[in-house]
Amino acid sequence: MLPSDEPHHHDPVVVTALRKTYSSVDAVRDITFTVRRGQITGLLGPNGAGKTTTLRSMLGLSKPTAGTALIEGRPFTTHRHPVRVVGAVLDASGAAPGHSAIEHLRTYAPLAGADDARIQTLLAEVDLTKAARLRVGKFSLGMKQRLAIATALLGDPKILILDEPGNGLDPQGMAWLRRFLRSYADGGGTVLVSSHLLTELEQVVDHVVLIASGVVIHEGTLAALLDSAPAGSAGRATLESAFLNLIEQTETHR
Amino acid sequence: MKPSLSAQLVSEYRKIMTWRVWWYLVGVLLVVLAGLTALISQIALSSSPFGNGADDAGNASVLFSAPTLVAPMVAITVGILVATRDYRNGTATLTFLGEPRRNRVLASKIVVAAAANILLAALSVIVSAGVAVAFLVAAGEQLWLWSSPVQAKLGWTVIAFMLWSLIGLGIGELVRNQFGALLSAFGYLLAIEPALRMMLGMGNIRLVDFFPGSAGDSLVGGTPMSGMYPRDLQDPVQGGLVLAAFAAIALALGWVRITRSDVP
Repeated sequence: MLPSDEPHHHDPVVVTALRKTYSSVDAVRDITFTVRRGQITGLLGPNGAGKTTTLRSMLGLSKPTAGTALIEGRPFTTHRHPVRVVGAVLDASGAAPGHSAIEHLRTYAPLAGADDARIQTLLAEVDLTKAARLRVGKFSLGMKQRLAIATALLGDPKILILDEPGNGLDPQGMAWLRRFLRSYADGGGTVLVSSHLLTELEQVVDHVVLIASGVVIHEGTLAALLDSAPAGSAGRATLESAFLNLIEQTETHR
Repeated sequence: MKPSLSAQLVSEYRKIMTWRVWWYLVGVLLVVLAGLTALISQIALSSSPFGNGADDAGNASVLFSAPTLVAPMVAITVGILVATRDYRNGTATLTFLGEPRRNRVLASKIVVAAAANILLAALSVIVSAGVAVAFLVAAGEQLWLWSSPVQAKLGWTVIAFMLWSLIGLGIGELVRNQFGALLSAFGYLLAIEPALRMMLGMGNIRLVDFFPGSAGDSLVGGTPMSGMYPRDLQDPVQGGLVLAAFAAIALALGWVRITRSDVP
C-alpha cells in the first residue's frame, strides 16, 4: 500500500463502524471506509447491500444505531452550512412536478446561499439552460438527474455524494455523468458515488469500497483491486470479476 | 453566514408561492364563498327582514358567516399539504439536507402555514363581506359591516383559519402520507365528530365543548350549520382556547415525529 493510500484524519469523509438497524434487522452492520480528497470513490455492491442506508446515515437523514460518519472532521448535521460542504443527490426524482427547473433551484437556493447568477451558471453547467422554464414533471430521467446535480451544487460544495446516479440513464446520459464527475474531481472536488452496476463506473472511479450484506468486503484503489483479481470472462480482470471473486472468498471464509 | 431560520423561511415561502395547486385552491375557495354567501344572504333576507334593534346585528352576522363554514376543512387541508408535500414529492431529503436542525424546519413551516391561512382567511372574509354587503344594499337594509357582532365574527374567523391550519400541519407531520392525513382529518370532521356531537349533545354532555369542531364553531360564534346540534356553543374565547390546545397537541406530536424519525 502506498503511503498516500493510508487513511488520514483530514480525509474529507471518514466512516467508522457504522451500523443501522431497522426493527432488529441490520441494514448495515459494520461499515468503515475513507474517501480521499480529489478522488472519485465508488461505493459499490448489489441491491440491498446497504449503500443507500450508509449514505443517508452519513448525511443525518437516518440516525445510525452505532458508529460515526465524519465529513471534514465532524458529523454532517453539525456543520454551520452543511450544503456548502457536501452536495448530495439521493433521489433524482425529488422535485415538485409543477415547478420549473428554475423555480426548483430558487426554492433550495437560500439554504445554500446561492443567488440567481449562480443558478444560471449551474443550469448552463448541467445543460438545462433551454429547459429552465419547463416543468420538472415533463423532464426525462436524465434531465431530472442533471437538475438534482445542479441542486446539489448550489452551495458550491467540495464534496459530492451521489446515490445510484446512473439508474435509468441512457448511454448518452451515463457518458455525460462520467465526464461531469471526472471534471469535478479534476477541479479538486471529492466524489462518493454508489452503484449496483459495477461496469458503468469502472471507467471513472479511482478508489473502490465494495459492500455486500451490510459489510465492507474490500476497500482500495481500483488498480490494486484489478491487479489482484483473476481474469474474468472478458479475458482480463474487471471490477465485476473482482467483485464476484471477493464475494466467493467471503462466503468460503464464513 | 450561518444557515438562518430566515433562509429556511424563504425556502418554505417560495415553495408555497410557486405552488400552482395553492393558487387554484385560493381561487376556487373565493368563488365558492361568493356563491355560498349569495345563497345564505338570499335565504336570510327573504325569511326575516331585519329591524334596527340590537339583536338584529347578531342576526345579520349570519350573512358574513360563509367562511366559518369552510374554515375547518380548508385550513386543515392547507396545513396538511404544507407538511406532507415535501414527503410526497420526495423533496424532504433536500429540505433536511439544507437545514438538518429539524425543529427549525418545523418552525418555518408553522410560520408559513399560519401566514398563508391568515391571508386566505382575510381574502375569504373580504370576498364574503363584499357579497353580503351587496345583498344588504340591494335589499335596502343597513350594511351591518361595522357592527360589533359582525366585526367579531370576521376577526374570529381569521383566528380559526390559523388554528385549524396548525392542527393540519401537526397531523401532516405526524402521518406524513398525504392521502392518509387528509382522509383521517376529513373523516373526523365530516363523520365522527358530527355523529358524536349529535349523540352526546342530546344528553347535554359537557364533553362536547372539548371537541375540536365544536370548539371551532364556538370560536367563530356559530356557523350556518352549528344550530343543528343540540348543545349550545361556548364563548368564543373559551372555544378558541380549546382549539389552540388541539393545535398545540397536534404540533407537539408532529414535532416528536419530525425530530425522532428518519427522513423517508
